[in-house]
Amino acid sequence: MSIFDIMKLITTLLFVFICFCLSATAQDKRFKTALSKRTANYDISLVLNTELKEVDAKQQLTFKNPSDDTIWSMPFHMYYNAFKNNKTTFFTEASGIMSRKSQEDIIEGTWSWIKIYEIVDEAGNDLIDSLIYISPDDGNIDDQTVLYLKLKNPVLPYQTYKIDMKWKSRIPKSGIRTGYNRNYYFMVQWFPKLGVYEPAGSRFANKGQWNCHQYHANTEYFGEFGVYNVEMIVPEDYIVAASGFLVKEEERGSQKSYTYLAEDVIDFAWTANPDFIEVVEEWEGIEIKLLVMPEHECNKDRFFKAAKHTLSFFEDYIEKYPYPTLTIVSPPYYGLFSGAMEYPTLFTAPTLCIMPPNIRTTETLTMHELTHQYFMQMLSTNEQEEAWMDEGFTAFFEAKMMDIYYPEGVFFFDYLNINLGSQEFRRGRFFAADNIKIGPMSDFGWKFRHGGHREIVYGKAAIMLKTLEGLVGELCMQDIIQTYFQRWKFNHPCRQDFIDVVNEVVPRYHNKFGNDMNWFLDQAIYGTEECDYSVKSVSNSKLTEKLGFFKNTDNPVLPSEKSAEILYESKAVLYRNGEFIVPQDVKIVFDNGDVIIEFWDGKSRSHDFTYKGNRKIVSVEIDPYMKIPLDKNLINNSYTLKPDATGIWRIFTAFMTWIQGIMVTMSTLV
Amino acid sequence: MSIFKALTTGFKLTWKYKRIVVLLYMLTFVLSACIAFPLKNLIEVTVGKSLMIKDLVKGVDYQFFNDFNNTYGLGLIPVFDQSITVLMLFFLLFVFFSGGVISVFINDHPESYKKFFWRKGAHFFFRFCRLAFYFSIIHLSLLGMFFLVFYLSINGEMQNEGTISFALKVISPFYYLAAVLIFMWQDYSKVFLVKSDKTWIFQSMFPALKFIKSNFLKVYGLYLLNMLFWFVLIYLNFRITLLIKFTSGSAILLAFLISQVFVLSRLSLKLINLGSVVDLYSQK
Repeated sequence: MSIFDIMKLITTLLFVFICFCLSATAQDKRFKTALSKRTANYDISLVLNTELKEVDAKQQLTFKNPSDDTIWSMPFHMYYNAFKNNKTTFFTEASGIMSRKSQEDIIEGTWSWIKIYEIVDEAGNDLIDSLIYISPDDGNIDDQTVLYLKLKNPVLPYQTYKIDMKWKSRIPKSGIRTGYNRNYYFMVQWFPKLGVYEPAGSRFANKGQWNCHQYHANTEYFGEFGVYNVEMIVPEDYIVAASGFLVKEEERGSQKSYTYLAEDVIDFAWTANPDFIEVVEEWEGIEIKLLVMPEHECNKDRFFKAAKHTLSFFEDYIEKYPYPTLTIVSPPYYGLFSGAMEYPTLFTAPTLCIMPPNIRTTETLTMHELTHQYFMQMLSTNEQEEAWMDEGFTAFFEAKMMDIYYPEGVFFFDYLNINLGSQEFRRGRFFAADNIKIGPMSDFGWKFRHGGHREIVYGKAAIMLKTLEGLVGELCMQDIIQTYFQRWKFNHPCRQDFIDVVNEVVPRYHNKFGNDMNWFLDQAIYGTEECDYSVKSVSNSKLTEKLGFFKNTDNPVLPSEKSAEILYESKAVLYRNGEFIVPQDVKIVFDNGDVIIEFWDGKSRSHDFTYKGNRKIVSVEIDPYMKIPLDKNLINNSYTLKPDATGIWRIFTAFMTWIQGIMVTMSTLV
Repeated sequence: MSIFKALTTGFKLTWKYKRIVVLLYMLTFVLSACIAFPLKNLIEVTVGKSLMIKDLVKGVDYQFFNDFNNTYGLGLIPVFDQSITVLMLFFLLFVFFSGGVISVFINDHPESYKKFFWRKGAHFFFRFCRLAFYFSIIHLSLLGMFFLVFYLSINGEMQNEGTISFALKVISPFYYLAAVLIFMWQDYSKVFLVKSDKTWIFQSMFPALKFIKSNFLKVYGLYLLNMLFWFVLIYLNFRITLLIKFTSGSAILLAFLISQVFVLSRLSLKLINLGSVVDLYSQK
């Protein structure tokens, strides 16, 4: 045996060993028992053509009928057709998008699409003629984002059904959420994806039905749990990351194939870019992978720290993150169209190399998008119909975590002691909206046609949950979330399921709210009214003794000679200015140091607390423990008869100094 | 060492006519108080009895300002409108005083400077106004030119957003050096204008430019030195403000007094600069 042969043998053995290790690692990452029902499972093999910006794929869908219904049709999301022309529902709703599409692209007709060109069922029936586009939401005939397939053989109750298809797509350039720019590809909502079958009794379904909405500007996606086995063939110099974990990596001439497996997820996302740097860290057995541009690598610790804080928080608060991998994609600046998007086990969180450490958007976005793994991914609510159930919960937890782990705030600056907490920032953004009464949280996302979607589904929902926590207490709130999660994880809960959990848990902790919390949740979820309580006035008037005729007109009661103790009638008058009713704690402080906490059910338009005695009220404060951030004006929640003007002088002197500074600077122009 | 001599003369002149500095300082004080009092009253009348007011002692309270703006924000509009009016008034008054200051510095008669100061201020007012207008256009053109350079440098296929900060880092110092030239030209034009008392503005601007050209190192060096002082003052002001812990009324008063010292210092620096310019001009 020559040296060459020995080397060859060693190389072969080494290769076999590496393959074995890889396969063993991949095997280890598979779940021993399924976490979900795995209703819609996909085997996809695709080729990315970076010259033509196209994807050519073959796909096998294995659908398990989750009901005792016989199903005769299947709808598919064809999201890329949202970018097919300027009259799609997406383009019509997002009127600003056209202005972002370059004139050159419009003139050259650079539009995107996805089309199925071959489709057969498991019996070998060619179904290509059974496909039609439908527009269930608005009847728009120019919108082709939902493809309806009429089956030749039905899917029988609880049966498994396979469909094979071949399809092709043109990738949108700098689309919203998905697409490419230069050599960066962010491939999400990219394949013909089956709608969600809702058996009778699940969510809002009275009878078995498909849930498959068109692609709207405001809304993202909703999907069925399943296993995705996806092979991506890309140019050899591209770095790829995807949902799930890598099971196979192969050189294929000038191309490279990556196979990823994602189990018990509702969608599959992937990204490719030759310039990415891959940084991997581990946290309690979870592989955290960061794909970052070289110029953003300096911020890698910020991503990892925030991700680990989030994982740690949820391990304590709800349950440990169950997936073996977590991928954070930090897009290049020209890929910001894909920024801040959440997909199963993979999300994007943009950063900038010029981002100073006292602006914590990198951390906020990491925490926010990672929280979506719980609220929307594991608890798979319908984002299109009830966006507040993922964005609101996520914003609530993001603010909570940011205030715990980054107490300096999301933005802080020593000058003027600026320290902007995450919670107050969320609240501020909501109340600064043009119209906070524009629509109820329960509205479908695309019903917010005149704005307010973000403010309501993020801001109002997060503040509503914070108010709920304030009312019922942190322990009770954690119990609510835990119960909700344990009951509905890897399933599709709707708002009523959450409401039921609240109404089940709260009475175990409190009896002061009645039989249920509907009085609060109905106002918050289905109502549009605002909450505002104020202290109208505080007065202390001397009590006068009885003088004059009372029982008869013969003997008037005259002033008594002895010097009586001065007694006061002290009164605090409170107003309910808004229509939203919440019970309130009221703190009343007296001049002798006494402090009383009163309870007001908050129902009447006005209310007073009156005391008689030798003490005078000094100050009154509604909601002294700041339990109700839903109150739109916290300034008028308190009233004092001994105002301390020091704070006003601070503003006065600072403002005066700034004006003087401007004047002196102006003098240089003279 | 004519630069340091000019600087020393600038200091001496400013000290000699310190009442002018005090007058200018009082002007900023009174006018800024005219703007700040309505804001203070607005806060007092609308929310002065709220317990949240005490949170303002520590500095910016986002929750307070957000709720205040949402509820009483309309009340701020007249305050800001008034601010703009007062700032414009200050600008015109400073134009007026500039003529007086330079005339006093050039003639240097401490015993009769007051009359001179007011009379010359009025005498040169409209010409100084025109001068300020022309130089504003020159400043804007320069800014526009540098913005164009900046825009062209980041336009096209930028590799990353670092290009923006890199371009800013590279272009800003050049802009600063060029802007200093314009400021300098403006100051020398004023001195030439007062000295020659010509009606036609350009009859002062061009000789000033010629003077700068022939004494470039000296005048530019002096100006950069003055600008350095200006930056040092701003930096010191910022650092000292950070050292104060705002917990009480006395801390607020202390911070305010310190800030007033810096306002006074910056105004003095403006006059020191003019004094040293006059001195360099006199050395020609």
